[in-house]
Amino acid sequence: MTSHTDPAGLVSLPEGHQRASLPRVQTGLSDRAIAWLFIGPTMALLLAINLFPLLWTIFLSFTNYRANRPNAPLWNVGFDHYVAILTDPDIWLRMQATAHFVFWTIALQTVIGFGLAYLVDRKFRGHGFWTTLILVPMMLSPAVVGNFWTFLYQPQIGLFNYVVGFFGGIAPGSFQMLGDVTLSPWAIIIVDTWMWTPYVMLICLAGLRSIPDYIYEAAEVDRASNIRQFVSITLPMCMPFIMLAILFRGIENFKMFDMVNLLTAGGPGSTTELASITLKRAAFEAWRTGYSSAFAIILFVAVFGLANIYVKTLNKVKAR
Amino acid sequence: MTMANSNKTQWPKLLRRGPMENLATALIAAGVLMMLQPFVMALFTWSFITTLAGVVMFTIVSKFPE
Repeated sequence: MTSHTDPAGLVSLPEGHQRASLPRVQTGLSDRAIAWLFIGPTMALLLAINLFPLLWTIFLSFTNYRANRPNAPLWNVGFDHYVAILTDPDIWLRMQATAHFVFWTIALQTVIGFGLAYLVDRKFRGHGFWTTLILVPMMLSPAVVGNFWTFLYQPQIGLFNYVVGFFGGIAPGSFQMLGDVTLSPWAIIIVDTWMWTPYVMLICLAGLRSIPDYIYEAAEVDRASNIRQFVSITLPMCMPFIMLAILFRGIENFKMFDMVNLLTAGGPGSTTELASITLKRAAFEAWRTGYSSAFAIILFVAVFGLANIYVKTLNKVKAR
Repeated sequence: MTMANSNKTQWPKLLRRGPMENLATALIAAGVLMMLQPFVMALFTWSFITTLAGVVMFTIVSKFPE
């Protein structure tokens, strides 16, 4: 609204012309101020719960701070914690255990998830019911999954051992999935695959549904075989979605903690001790807060890097 | 000529966002692989610096013009 005319008498008015009294402009907050007022609390909350802990962790990673001795003198140890972690063969072994877990879960989930998506994409009787049933494990809490798979893996009464014994012709009590050094890494892989394959299936299904029918119709006209159509159309057009699923599951499994902690707590020995379990032990059992902060920052940088690639891939998928 | 166009022409071709982002992505992927590989301890030792360099580079070059 432009109600101000000649506020300082710059424009000369004709003689005898009375200056009309201007309506008083209501003073209030500008649009910008109102916008800040609305996003201010959210910004403050984000800074408080995201940025501050990150900066505090970075600060602690350069000190000898121990959370169980808060009044002890604080020393700057420089990069000592980082050097200690990155030259420690035990930490390297924990990273390899994490790599084994991440690699096999992603491989199995991608293959099975894509296969399920391919099947569910075909119209068949009751496919809605089966799709819902397949999605159930994904909806459960990791704590619940960890607990009931502990029962399933019981050597004496567990259903898993019974089924393997029935089909394999071996005694169900002759092997322990969670107590055996060789089998326990595979036990956690099986559980994670069971739980998260539906998620990969959903993403792949979105990819399959995004392929227009006319491409297949054109391929039919060209007398392309089913295998040729799968290799030349389905797989390449689904690839960005598959990459998205791989990256997301990679990031999630790289920092896997809850389910594995409930199933094995890193055991037997340290065969299933993933990086996040090592971190928890250093922070809350050995109380080496500065050291564990440095370890957390190392893991954070890796996850943040993967997240950057994830967002880049996501933008590619969006652009399609 | 608009400001955007003049910026586009003046920006070095080598420092465009696309290729630089690809380079940063490759650096991050290399760093993560170095961190998780079971073969050479020295690669694990240098993995953090490599990943960090990739992340910092990605953050900077993602502001570059296309």
